[in-house]
Amino acid sequence: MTKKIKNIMGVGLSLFTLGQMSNVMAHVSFENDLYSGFSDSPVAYGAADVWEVTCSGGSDRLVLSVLDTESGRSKVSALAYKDKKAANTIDSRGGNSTASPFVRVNAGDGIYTIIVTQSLPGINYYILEYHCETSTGTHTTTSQVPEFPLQDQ
Amino acid sequence: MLPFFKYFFGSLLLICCFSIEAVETGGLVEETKIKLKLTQYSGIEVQLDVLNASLSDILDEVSAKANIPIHYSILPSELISATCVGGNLDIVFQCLLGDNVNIVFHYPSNALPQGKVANTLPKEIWFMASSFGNIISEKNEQLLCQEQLTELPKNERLELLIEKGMSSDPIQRAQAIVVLAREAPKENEEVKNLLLEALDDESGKVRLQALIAWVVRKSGNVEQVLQQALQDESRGVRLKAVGLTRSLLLLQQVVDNESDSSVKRYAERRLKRLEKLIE
Repeated sequence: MTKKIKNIMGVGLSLFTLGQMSNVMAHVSFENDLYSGFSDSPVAYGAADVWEVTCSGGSDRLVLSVLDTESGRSKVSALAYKDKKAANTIDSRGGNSTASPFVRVNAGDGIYTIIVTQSLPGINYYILEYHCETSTGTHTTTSQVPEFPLQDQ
Repeated sequence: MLPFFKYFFGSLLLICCFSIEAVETGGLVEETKIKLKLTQYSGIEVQLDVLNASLSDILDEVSAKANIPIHYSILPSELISATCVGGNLDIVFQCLLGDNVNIVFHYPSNALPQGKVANTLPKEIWFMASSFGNIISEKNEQLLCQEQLTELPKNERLELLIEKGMSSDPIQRAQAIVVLAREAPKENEEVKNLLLEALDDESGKVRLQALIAWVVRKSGNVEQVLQQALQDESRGVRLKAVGLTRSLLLLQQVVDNESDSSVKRYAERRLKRLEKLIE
């Protein structure tokens, strides 16, 4: 069953309605949590998950968006950066099916770092959607699709 | 300019102080540094970076730059090198000196409600001299300082991390596991055994990090480990276990049996999405 799930994830089946963009090549993470401010949480404030995504040769940029899957005062934002270039996107209204606006980081091919953070201590849940593309918008291969964040808080 | 960089440069402007000097000791020039940053960013409001500095110098510097009266009598004379970052001075001093030093913080009456960690600066601080003992040197030995770690050869670094993973301080154990999860070779039996023990650690923080490490490293019997974690007394561990599981059966068990509403909702959503994927 796990293999089947991975295969499906590999083709990047979209899990939520994006509103701003519809594509079949995007990669969608599983739902993840940010957990802070409790006695058993990794940090008292500002939980942050760190992801790495690799865009293959010929890529011009990484495009990403984040979906906050539960309503609440705390907002989820995702910041991507590479080679001194960065972009940030916030889902300002959690709990609905509309993700944050797509943002682009035009830093060519290679490894991009994505940091997902919460605005307030507590529990947040999110799904990341991202893909790599050329300067004309043709999707390129995302050669490293992580199953788990590098830093998981 | 991108918003991120505006934010970043904005934070630099908030640097409170930076002092660096060189002291000559027996013909050798030893660098001394006490650097305190106060920022407005959640979780990293206070950043203290010290190199070969005495505690009295550190406290005087913090007192002067943060404009907080700090009272102390006798302090240990050992020089300290450490980098500590936290949401407030309590956390930073705890990192610098350990848990056993008694410090009294007087916060303004409009600070956060009781039971929450105040993220404002205290009005005044007292250090209880009798609680120091040999704590400075012990803490310096224990400190899991990233800068020191990166300077070590790979083997020594691994040994040190394993040692920290068995520290009496749960924060040290949890931090060591985070780094080991990322860096230790998967086939390393010592690390595997350490993680296995950490899955049953008395501290929820440690069990949580051990669970992540175990699953991400695919250390074996993942489903069994997740099943145990889903019944953990710590909500954080159960929550993380839900986030890490790909098993419909386990998620369904959480939906049926979980008492905490956040964990249950999380499991319900994950179950729904996974079912959709498999259809």
